[in-house]
Amino acid sequence: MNGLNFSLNAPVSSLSPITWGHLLYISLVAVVAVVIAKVLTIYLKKGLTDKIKRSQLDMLLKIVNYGIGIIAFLVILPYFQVDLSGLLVAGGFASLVIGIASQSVLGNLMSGIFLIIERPIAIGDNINIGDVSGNVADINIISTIIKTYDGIYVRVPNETVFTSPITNYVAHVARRFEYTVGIPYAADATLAIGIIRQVIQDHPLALREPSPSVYVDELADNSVNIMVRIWAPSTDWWDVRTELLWTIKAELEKNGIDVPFPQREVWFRNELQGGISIKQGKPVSPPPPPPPTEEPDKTI
Amino acid sequence: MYGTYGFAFHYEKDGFSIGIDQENGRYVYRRTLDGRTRERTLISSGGRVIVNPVEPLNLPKEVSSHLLVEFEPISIEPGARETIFLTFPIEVAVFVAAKGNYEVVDIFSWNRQKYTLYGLSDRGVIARWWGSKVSFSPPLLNPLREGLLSLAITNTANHWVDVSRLVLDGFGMKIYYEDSATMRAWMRIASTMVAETGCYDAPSSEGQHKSLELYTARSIAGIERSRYMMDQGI
Repeated sequence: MNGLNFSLNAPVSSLSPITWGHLLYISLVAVVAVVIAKVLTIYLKKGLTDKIKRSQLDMLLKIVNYGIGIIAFLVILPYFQVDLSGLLVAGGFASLVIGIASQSVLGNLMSGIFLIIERPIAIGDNINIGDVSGNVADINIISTIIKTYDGIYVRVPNETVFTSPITNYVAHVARRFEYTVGIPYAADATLAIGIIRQVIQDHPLALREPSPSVYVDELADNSVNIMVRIWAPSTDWWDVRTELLWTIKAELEKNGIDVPFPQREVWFRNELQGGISIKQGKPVSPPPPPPPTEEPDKTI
Repeated sequence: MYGTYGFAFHYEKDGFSIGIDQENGRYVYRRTLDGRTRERTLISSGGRVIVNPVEPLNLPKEVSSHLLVEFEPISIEPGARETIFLTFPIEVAVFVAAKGNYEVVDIFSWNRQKYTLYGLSDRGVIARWWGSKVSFSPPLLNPLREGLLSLAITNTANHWVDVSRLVLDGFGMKIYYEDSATMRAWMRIASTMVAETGCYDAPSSEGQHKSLELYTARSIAGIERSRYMMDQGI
């Protein structure tokens, strides 16, 4: 026993006052801190995953883990016999050098802190920063991790995030999207608008308020263009957009309103040689020539 | 249809069927509604099936935890207290319970769902929308589609107020059932734009059972508010 006490009280090296006992204690504190952090993480994940948002849970886990790490650090700090005041004086010059060298790191750190305070983005948000678009996978102290829509990992330094224009597509609970639906000139636009309105009304996630707007927007070259503007929950707008577009097309066609192709009417000055086929493939006699005109071939 | 049953459970009516069959030593839950069938295999040695109405905020997917009931505007004088009768949409959940625990196997509804935005897009909430008539005595309802929502309105403002909307938080909904579902809510009007709403945890009549709630099970005690502050118009 005495031999064990002696060995635990013996310094690790002649240069350091830290004993083997201190080292054991420090290791024990570190292990206990890691175990507590792991257990708390598992417990919080089990208990809260289906109760709070993923972003909130991630933030809570970070706070818990960093908190445990800081407490463990403060517990073991005295055993290193660090004289903070002496360290400050002695390290003044070194701090200056390190400060200049790590300017960008500090910039990122400060930006990270401001991002956490201002919270323009949260984990899981659908965003665009500069030329990077995707979902925010993580917000760290130094950088923000974005998973692009192609599943690519992109690390953006927080300073870049903080100084770039950020578009957050889900910051508000609802957002609007729009289509332009072209119908033939011969079709009844009022009927088409009624059909489109009904399709929107039948979709559960096309919001009732703000009400959708459907109106004739343009008399275009080849079609009468109907503008369709719909609000949907920000979290589901893409699904709503894709589902509604095809349903609108199908419903219009079911009611005899085809989406027109680009058309061009061509008048020929001279009678064409040979027969002209129409869509059904039956040959018909060539149409009568247009009235004489001074102009060359005219296209409308 | 509502109630607690053993695993040998079948119910069929007007093209709707629900039940559990035993196939090759396993239980298979089947529900058919509007020609569509949902099936789920249950690995269990047996238990109970609970069918009851739940907070109507689950279909077609969980988008919101708020229900907005819109009705014809009514004007209330200062200091008045009045109970009106509205309706709320019915969503039915099927739970299997065994060994002291239960799990939702299905949620279905005869109603179409529609969602709306209450308030502005930057400060409002997405809510399940439901249109209701206003009655001053309990109306006749289709119990498969509608539940009875009695609303006690108190106007604490010192001027007349028009009310045409009620927003309830899913975490505070308390649904009771027997043959049909009921919910008792309250609304305290503070001004022409602001009111607080909530639900009483009490049946509308004797003999009613309390529904198993989905939102209460998900909530964190002391954190989620069961009341809702309607501060963007009533």
